[in-house]
Amino acid sequence: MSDTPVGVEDDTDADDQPGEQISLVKTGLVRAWIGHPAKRYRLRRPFFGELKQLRLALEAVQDEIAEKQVKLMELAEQIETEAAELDSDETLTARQRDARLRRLRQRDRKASREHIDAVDDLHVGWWRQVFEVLSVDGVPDDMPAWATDGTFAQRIMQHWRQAPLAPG
Amino acid sequence: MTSTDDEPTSPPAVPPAWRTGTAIDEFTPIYLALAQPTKTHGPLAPADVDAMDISVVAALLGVGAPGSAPPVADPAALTRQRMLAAREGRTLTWEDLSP
Repeated sequence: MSDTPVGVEDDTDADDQPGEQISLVKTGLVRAWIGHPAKRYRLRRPFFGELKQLRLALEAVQDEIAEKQVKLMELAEQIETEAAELDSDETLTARQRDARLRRLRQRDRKASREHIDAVDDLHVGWWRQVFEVLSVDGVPDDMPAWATDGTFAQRIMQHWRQAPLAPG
Repeated sequence: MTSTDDEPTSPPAVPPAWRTGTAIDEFTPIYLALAQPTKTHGPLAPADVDAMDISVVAALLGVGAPGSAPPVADPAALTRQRMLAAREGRTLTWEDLSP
């Protein structure tokens, strides 16, 4: 995601970086500044078993999101069908038709919002697990907005695969 | 809990995660490679590998470390992958070891 405040840096001391952001250190470490005022959290390099555990957890999240996506599409198709039936129902007055269409739109929006919230919760839950496993500074009370970004979860996994060699 | 970046952290207890699925397939070649004894280490069980820092695993595999021994099941294939990666101006990553 383009607006994720992420950077890659050398393993230099960066205690004085302000604002909420995350840095992928070339040694495989991760530093995140979270909250207002921002507190620094350091994620150590994972052990191999932990990397596997987090990768499998991310896969489970992705599977669950895919299932939710299918259900959302099924609901959208059902709503489209119901809307088409309303159009062809000549027993309804224009006002009745409009009222039912409004309810259909509300159902559609409610389902979409719930889907987005559920997906966000799944990603945040995965990041919480990452912090529980790897953070040497505890787990933040509130996870930052970038934790809802699924592509960033994949990027962090990639980081641990590509930068494991330098001494920590 | 406080710690510096350089402090060693004790290996955690990680439950076995062998299962069917796609993600585990990325890890299987690494277990297989490290199960082969070399001059530098004996055969490593999956539980031993799980308890290793990923940088140690990478070093044992010779991934991205020019000159280190390639203790992978098929060293010739690894050498070919290394040459290909070098031609592309990059070092090997674990993805290169995946089937």
